[in-house]
Amino acid sequence: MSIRIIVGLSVLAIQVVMIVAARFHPMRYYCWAPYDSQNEYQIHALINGHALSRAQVESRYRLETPAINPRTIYQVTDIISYVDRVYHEDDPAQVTVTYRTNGGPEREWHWPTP
Amino acid sequence: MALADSIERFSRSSWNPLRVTDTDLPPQLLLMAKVVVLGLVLKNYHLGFPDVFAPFFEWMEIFPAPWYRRAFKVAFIVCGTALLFNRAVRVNCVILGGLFLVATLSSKVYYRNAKVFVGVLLFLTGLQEKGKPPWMIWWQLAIMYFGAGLNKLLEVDWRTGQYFDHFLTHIYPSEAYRLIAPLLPGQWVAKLMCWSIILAEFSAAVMFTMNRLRPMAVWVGASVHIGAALLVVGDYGIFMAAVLASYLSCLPWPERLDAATGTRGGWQRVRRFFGMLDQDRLIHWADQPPKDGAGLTLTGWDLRWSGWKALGGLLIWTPAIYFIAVLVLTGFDGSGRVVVVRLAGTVGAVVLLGTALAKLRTLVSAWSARPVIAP
Repeated sequence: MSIRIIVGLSVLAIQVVMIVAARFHPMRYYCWAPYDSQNEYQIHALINGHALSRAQVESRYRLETPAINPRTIYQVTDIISYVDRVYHEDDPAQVTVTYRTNGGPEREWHWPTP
Repeated sequence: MALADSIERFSRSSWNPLRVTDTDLPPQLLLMAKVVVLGLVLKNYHLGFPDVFAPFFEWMEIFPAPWYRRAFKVAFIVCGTALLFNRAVRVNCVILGGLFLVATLSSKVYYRNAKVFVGVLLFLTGLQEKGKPPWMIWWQLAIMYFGAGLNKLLEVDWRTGQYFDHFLTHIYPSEAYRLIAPLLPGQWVAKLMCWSIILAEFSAAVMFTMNRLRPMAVWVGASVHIGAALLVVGDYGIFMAAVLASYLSCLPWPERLDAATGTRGGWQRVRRFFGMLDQDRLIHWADQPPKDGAGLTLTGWDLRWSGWKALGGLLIWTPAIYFIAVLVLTGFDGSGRVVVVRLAGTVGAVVLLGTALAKLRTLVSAWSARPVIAP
């Protein structure tokens, strides 16, 4: 079997692994789940008790708010937790993401996670 | 020996970007790759590469901004240009695909399924072995449709129809849905839409792995994407153009086609038009008109088509047509894009319906012509 075939099969196999992994985890990366849920969300962030403006939130997380994520809300919360954990260790924010998936009941996600 | 062969082929390949033959890739795969790259440029994807921000692997933070994204941009422009001019096509496909795969790994904000699809499609194209069928791309399509179908099947909102009901009522309010939805009780219209997509995606996944059913897989897949485009009047970034281009991997490519036209002015214009576009000199035009009086005939692989079918063959096997199509599909913004998506979606739907009816007619003819055993 040539090296090309091995590399190609590996690329295909990784996707199969990610499809299986998505059954056990809310992430939907590399598993072909585009436009499978419509997540209307809004991000609220507080630093030392002061609320960040919409522009500040968008600049900090590079995410629009309010907005719709057509993949999974996990993509939004995953980015927020990464940004606060890695880039803003010294000025941590208290973040609340309110969201509705496919018009369902409103839910909240908090960072830091309780 | 292999290196010498590659060098010889490198110098022999034409610099004409409209040509797709005489390279290390099968013509239909090179055409697919070029169409995708052209679409990416027209949609400005080459300007949108990210710096590292919320990457999948924290060690990627070592790459400095803005040099990281600038390196991607330069690499895309160099490799994309080289690919268009038929230079080192396989290596350039691997690099271009790798750029998009690494870019999606570099930033979860940048991550989109369309970019991943473009990445794997170009990457696998670059790994294509000479003289072998492009089975890795067929399996890629199968895995994509399987993943999409499975995720929808396991989402309760897809099983109940809630997804489409909400989407077409609140996210993208559809007048057509508002009129159709009350025809059935509850969310049954939305439910039927959801389940038809789930079934179509699973069917396409299975059929892409089977040689005999692959043309039907293309039909089913194209139906899903054209339906989605018409429903939301959107092209999902580069995704629509890329996935339709990927179906070129299922198209057999002839080494030679023989064509003949009647003497009427219209057919002569067809001949001149395709003669001008056919930069690979794939089509050999006869000096004499067809003996059976047909306006246009096309012959390849010992098969003969005439009239509209022959014209369809010329359209299918003329690479320049695909370049024109991608220019039209991806070259517009704003209201122009809406018009193009509506028009292209409608043309696509008519073509799909036409091919389905033609197939049905063939089946009915075969059924009528079956030998009947007398009682």
